[in-house]
Amino acid sequence: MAQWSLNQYFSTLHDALHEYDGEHAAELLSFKHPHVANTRLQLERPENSVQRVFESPYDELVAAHLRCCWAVGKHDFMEAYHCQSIVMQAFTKIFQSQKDENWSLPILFVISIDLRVFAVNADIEAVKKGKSKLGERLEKAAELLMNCFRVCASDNRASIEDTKKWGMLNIVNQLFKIYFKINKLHLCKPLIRAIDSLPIKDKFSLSQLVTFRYYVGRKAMFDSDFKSAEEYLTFAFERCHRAIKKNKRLILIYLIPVKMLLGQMPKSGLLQKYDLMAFSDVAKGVGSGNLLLLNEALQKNEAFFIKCGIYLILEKLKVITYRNLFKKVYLILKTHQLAIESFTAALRLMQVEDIDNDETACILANLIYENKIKGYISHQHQKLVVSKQNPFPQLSSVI
Amino acid sequence: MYLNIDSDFGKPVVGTCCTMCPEEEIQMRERENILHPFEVAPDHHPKRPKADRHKMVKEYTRPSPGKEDPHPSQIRTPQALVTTVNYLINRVATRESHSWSEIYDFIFDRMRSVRQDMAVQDLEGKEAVEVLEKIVRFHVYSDYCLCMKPISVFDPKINNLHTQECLKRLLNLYICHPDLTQNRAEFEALYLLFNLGDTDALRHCLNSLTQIRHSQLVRKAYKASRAMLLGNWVEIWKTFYSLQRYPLLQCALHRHFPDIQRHVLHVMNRANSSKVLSVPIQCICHQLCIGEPELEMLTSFLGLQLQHQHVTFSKTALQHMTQIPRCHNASIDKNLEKWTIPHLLLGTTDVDELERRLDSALHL
Repeated sequence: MAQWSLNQYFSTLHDALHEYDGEHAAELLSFKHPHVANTRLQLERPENSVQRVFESPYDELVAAHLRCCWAVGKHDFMEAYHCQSIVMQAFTKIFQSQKDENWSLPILFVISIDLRVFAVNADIEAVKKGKSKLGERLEKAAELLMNCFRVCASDNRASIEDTKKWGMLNIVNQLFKIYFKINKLHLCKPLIRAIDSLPIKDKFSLSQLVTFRYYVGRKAMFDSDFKSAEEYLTFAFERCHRAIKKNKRLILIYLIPVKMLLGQMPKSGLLQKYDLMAFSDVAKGVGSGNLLLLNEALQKNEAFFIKCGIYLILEKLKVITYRNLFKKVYLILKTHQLAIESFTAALRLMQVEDIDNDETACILANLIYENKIKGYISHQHQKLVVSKQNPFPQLSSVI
Repeated sequence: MYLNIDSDFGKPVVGTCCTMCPEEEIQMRERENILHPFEVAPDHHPKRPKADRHKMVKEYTRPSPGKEDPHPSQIRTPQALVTTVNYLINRVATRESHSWSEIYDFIFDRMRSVRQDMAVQDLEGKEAVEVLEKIVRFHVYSDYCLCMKPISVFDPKINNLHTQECLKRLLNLYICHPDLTQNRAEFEALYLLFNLGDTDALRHCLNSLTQIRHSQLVRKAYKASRAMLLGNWVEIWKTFYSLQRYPLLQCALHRHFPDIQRHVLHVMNRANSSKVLSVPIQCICHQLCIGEPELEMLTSFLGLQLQHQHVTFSKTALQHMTQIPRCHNASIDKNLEKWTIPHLLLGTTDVDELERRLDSALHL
């Protein structure tokens, strides 16, 4: 394959398209396939040769693909992105004109992945050269993908076997990857709704469903909807193929903080197995109410947590840590009327910056408000009065 | 051929107008008799409209689909845009004979046209940064000054929309031009405070450069925003009072007072709920960051029980709490009074910075 002549490549691709063999044609247009490294196919100006074999609008698609091979060959990702976006546009045109058939979906899948990858690299290159802001090309790529998504979503007439709707989830997953990268999470919502309202929403391939729920789970987490986040991420973790440890680890990076917020600490065996020891001290700190340890762990692994986008969520764990710390104070003092000062002392021990009774009372009041402590504050006596029964209810029962 | 990329299509225009208002517009507005009172000459008469050429500022006009692209002579140069904004701040914002709402309407419109001229030229340089910084300060300041006005006089939603748009544009410019970041910490902090408790803004901060994130102002703003997320109002107020030297940052935070106060009341009502216990009003004022007269207004507004200078909370109260009205804050008023409006809006309230500038002026 790598030694193909241009004519051999043309005739193989032509046959595949002619026989509606989407899978085979997709390979021949994918940058995961070895033909892209073949210098005989890396052409700066392929238009004339292409036009001898392919009719419009296929000629545009194939020519842009070969020029893209040329651009990638010389590591020019800005040009590669440009060519791939022409491939995408040409394909969208062809795709739209194919009524009641969906054999070309595999082609859509490969070219959209390549489009996204080139956009990422082109952005990096452009920023280096000071030519644009980060994310400019990715955003454009998302627009092109959206065009194709609309074609899929509006294919209402075709039968269930032939409908282009089968392409929707794949594109949505590509778009999720982009929106998370350029921090435009609000754009995910209409996509999620579009998928959720599909009658075939549970019938996509498992790997696509896993990816979809992974992103929906992350989105729910950012929206502070932790119960749904747990549900989606758990599905993703349990159904993700066990051989793909890298992906399971990725899912855990989000599932662990969500579980912790719901009061469930990860076992150290799990953290070791997936090389996630950064969470170890966080979990220990939260679980034992050791605010100091939590803060140190956050600081130590700051770069990692920020990169994953979970730093803020982990900051929210402070509330649970306060609760656990205050429970210890209660257990030590063994009384139902507790001086606010004793909690302030505990916080001071944890080196909380300029803490005073006023702020401690505020933290306690918030915990009562969230049902994490049962009781009330007496301002006159500067005391927290806790319920005689179960003053610190199980976290999973109150969130 | 379809594979060629670069073309002149969509290239931004380059403005050539060196004054605050293109000559053509001056003549048109004289002819049509649509001069603003701030722009007329001393011998102006409604029947014989006459403009003062030194006071004319280009109006904002809504872009519409059929309209032709503006001619370069109608677009101001970067330097003219800076001059325009400085004129508005130094000469118009200081008109004591007019109320701030009148001044606001005029400056808002004219600054909007400045932004429009910037947008069509795709300006990104130091002038763009300077102009946007001043426009943001103007909007934040106005939001505070006019917060008690009825919606017919001042629409905070529209003002916020414009503030946010300018802020985001400004922060983007900082990212693209690392050399133009003299005031970056101030505006990164402002963005956090203006969007207090907003996770997008917090994430933006976490993803910014370490030296920005660890600057004192940004750290304070981050702490306040995180405190909002965790409901810790005491920490928010502490940060608020620690920003005495930055009245505009306090103004940006002030926009969230009703939300914070609402949260305080909900939480205190739940946590201090008791038939026999009560909380003295001084304490509540302190928790709400307001004065006693405002509290009295607020308790009657909310239907809370006020007896012998104490408030009794009960679980059944406050169930239908609506939006708490905004009111001016004594601490901000005091801090604003220390500065003239041009000082505030041109950004010279930083004492150290002022001293540095004086120093360098003396050494010249």
